[in-house]
Amino acid sequence: MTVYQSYKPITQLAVNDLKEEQLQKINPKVVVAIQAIQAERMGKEPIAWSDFSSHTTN
Amino acid sequence: MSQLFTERVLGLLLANDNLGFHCSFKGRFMSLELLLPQRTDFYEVRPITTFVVKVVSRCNLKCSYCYMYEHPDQTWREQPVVMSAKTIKLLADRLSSYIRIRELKQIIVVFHGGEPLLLGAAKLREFFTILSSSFQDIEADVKFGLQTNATLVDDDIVQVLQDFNVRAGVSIDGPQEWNDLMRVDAKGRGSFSQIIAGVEKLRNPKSGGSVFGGFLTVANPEIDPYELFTFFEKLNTTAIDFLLPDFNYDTFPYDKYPPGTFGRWLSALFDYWIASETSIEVRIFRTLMKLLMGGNKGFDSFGALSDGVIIVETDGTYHGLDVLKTAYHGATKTGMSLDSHPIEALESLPLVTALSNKQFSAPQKCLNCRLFDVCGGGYLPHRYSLERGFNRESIYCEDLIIIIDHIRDYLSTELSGIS
Repeated sequence: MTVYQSYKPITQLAVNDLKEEQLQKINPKVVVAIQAIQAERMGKEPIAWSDFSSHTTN
Repeated sequence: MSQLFTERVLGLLLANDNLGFHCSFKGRFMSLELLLPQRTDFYEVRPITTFVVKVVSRCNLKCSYCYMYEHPDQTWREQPVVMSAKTIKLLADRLSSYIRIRELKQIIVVFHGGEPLLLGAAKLREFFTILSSSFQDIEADVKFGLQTNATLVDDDIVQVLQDFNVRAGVSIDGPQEWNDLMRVDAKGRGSFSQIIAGVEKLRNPKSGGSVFGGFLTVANPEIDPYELFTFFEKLNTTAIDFLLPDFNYDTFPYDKYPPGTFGRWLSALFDYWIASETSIEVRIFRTLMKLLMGGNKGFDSFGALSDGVIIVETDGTYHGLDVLKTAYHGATKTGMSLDSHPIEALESLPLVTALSNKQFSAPQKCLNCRLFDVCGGGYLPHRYSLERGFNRESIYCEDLIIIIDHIRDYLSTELSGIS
């Protein structure tokens, strides 16, 4: 796992391959961002991610 | 040949990194595209999926920094106070057609202002009814949002939001002593108490679930980051975003904020947030983390790619990003309207492409930068100067480098254990 260090990705994250036990070792707030990448790559990221007024369902 | 077309051609001719710009078109409609670098090799039409609808062109507050009223653009004076039902119907028809033609899976329509709740509950219900009924036979997921100062929220309005599944984002500047410095009414009276009362109604309706989306807050390095963070924690909010103030090269208060001030402030805020047990989402931090770890899409302020966005003013004219009103009078005009053009016609506008594909209009310095995929060259309004148009890095460049590198360093450590 790499975080973008220079012009190209700070990290070359193989986010799709991350196992549950690996995610459990990471700060949950980082996991949320990883899950957003996974959703984006599957074309399932909600558009509401980019719109603030409606992206939560509290 | 239309003036708009002529100016677009001129814009292409003027695309030159070494060229300085002077706004010598004062007194007439000057296409913002004249001031944009335009890199045709990066040109890519991306669908527009976010529609910001100015249902009201006036506001009951008079915040001193407001990009709608307190900056060079004064086109709000020419706008009808309230959008008509006829215009909303035309918008609904245009949107339905666009969704079908582009086979979109989802769009979001955000009611905005001014203050959209000046519509009142009955008009609000009428508008959402018109939109909803137009989308009934469409498979796409059409979401509704609303950005408000929350001072006019009442039970009837909450009921409308519930009925149409609308989440409301609320603007607030932090604790009362800070919020009431700038978020004031026309008589200079603070709005904090009314905002909190409105948020309470949004969060805890008499029946049904919350329709509160989260807070939007203008970053203010004068507020202690810990004080600000704990303020939001105590409000039990679930989401916040911190927005960099809408300064450009001609308006930035250099004496007040030395370079890097905002970057260091945001970094301190990030440290409190990331170390805390809170589940509050902070959009700027979440998005930067996502982009740093290989995500592609950001939003208009961050990332090299984002969803296309267009503004519809109360008279039905299409405009570019509203924050560009901080640049000069008429900066957001496209010369097109719901009456004259389908939404597809907007996709190819450089003004639209510049926000959804940042490479298209980024300064060469930004394209060569190691952080371009994350910052996208910064927010377009923050790149403006009278001298060079938008052909310059963000006025917040140093701040962006500080916060991005700060989060990158955190992620490098956090993720090192699972390499």
